[in-house]
Amino acid sequence: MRESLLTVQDLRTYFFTDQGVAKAVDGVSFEVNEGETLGIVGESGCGKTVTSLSVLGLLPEPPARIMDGSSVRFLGDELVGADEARMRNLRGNEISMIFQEPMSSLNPVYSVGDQIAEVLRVHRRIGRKEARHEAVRLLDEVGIPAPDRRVDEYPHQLSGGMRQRVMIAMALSCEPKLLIADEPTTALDVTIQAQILELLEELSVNHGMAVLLITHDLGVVAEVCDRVVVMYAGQVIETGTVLEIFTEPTHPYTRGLLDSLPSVTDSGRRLNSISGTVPNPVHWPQGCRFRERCPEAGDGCEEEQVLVALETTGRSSRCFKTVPVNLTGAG
Amino acid sequence: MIDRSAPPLLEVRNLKQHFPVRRGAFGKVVGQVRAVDGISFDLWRGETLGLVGESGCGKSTTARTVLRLLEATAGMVWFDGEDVRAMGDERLRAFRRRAQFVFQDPFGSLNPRLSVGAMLEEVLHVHDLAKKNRRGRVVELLELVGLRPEHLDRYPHEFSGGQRQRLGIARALAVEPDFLVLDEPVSALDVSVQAQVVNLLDDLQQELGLTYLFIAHDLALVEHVSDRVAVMYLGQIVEVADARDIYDEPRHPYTRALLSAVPRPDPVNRDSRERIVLEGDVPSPVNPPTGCSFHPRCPHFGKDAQCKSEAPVLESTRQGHFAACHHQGTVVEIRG
Repeated sequence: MRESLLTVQDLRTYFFTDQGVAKAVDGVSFEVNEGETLGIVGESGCGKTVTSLSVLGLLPEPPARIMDGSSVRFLGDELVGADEARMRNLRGNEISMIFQEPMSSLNPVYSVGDQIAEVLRVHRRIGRKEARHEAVRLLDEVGIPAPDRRVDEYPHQLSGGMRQRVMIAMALSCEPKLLIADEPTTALDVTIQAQILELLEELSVNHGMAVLLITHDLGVVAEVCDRVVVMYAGQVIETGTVLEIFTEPTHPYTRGLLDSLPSVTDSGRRLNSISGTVPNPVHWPQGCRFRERCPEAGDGCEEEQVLVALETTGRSSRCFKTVPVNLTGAG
Repeated sequence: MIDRSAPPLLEVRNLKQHFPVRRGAFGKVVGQVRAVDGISFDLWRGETLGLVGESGCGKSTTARTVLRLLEATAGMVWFDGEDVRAMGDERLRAFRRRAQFVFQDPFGSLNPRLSVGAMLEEVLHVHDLAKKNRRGRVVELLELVGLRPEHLDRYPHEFSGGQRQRLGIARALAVEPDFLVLDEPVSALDVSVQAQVVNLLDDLQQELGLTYLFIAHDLALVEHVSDRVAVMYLGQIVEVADARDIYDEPRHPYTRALLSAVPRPDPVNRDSRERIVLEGDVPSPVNPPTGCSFHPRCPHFGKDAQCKSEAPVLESTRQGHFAACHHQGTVVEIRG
């Protein structure tokens, strides 16, 4: 089989704090194939953002530490333990990232054109004039009206949606093969969110760019993703195609999440909620980490659960009650 | 059941809230932010009215003005037959006992230095309630919102987001109000916890006969909790109708666009769904567009001369369904 674009295997990122060791990411495996959009979905504190930051080596060590045995391979190259020069070259060039709050990722004292041009001059080593020209073209590509005027504006002069477009233009500037988007639309209004999601979809098709979308919003996942990884308490608890996850969820947590969504089309008077709250990463529960909140918990749940591959390719679940066809542990 | 033949609990008429824009060393007023620009609605006892719209549309300002946390620029607010804007100190105090506010950020609105028990007792003390048995009443309140008596001596930082929001609700309920303004009460919470709080609010409404003004930007959530929904755009209500109606048969192009922009957890139909992606951003309320304030972004009638020059008013096309659009009949036809 061909190697995936990005392969994460048994990633464990721990934080060494005064309160103890927080196992924020605790044995996460998944892969992103070329050109696909993979969604990582989960509630706050499930480790989805730490996973993405670990991929790019963006976490400060200490307190964070990527533990031995973790592996992140990009086109076959191991990134865990790679030197800073290699990582610098990779970031922006081959893998780009956009964040939730574009205002805090943009420098307030430089015009957006200067900031995009800087990326181009560093990574592509092109001249000042050419870089500016390219910046205007990129702003145009991400749908900013009057790009030749906007290029000289400062971040505070732009609306939230426009700022996110600028971030995307910057991320695209080196034609990356993978874009990591961490809650890219969470801070935006729905109509603007729809614009940005449409833009991301369009760009990923036009450039053959894979997208790793990190979000808490199941609606967003359903709209744009091809495959989905559901995380809970630092682990992957279910994977599958977007259709499989939404139409035949196997893990009780995934089912609980879907049931707790109010829906526009069907307004049953009562929402099914999941009782309790997300556990503390310093003391993950023993056995199945969802056990205390699980409506189906029973005998066997006190055992540590492994991610088991299900009959369909690419499907897996971390609940022993979902009957696996072959018992090969997938991570 | 909601009795709509009885007089409404809350009546709002042509309410305006304009904030001056000042510039220069002497603070010369150079313009007005028309945060709320002439809105009217009624709210009956036991009813939940959802107020939706994007950030900056004036939904929170509306709520604050209704409760007189901000003095209105113009318009009328009647609560249970009494003019809220004319109330003196004493009447206002009585009004505030009956009308309470629950904020979005439960952490920002709880005093970090007061234990839960002390915080709730303070509310009772200020309003001179439950003099004989304050502790007992506090325990009762905690139980009402699904917390336990042993939480009494804890501080806000010891609670999770969902529990903090329960505290915010307990504090609002301490004075036995009839009316609660819920300003994005679950937006800061995770979905699994969101559902718990929504269910709690539902139970409390049944049990205590409360009336809610529910403000949120999440349309699916608003539809779920509301009896009627009002959609706001640039300081005005553009459509108001029964929750079912507004989702099944939206009349205003903005409502339709807003509904179609909500990401749905339904990948099966994602390619067949009608999707309207609006262009551009919400215009500034300092300098709103002429005519219909939505016309520059309207996908259907942006070029229409009447839309550019004449502001539409809320008109009813059928029982209880109002929309402010010159072409509301046509919109339905286009939808086919």
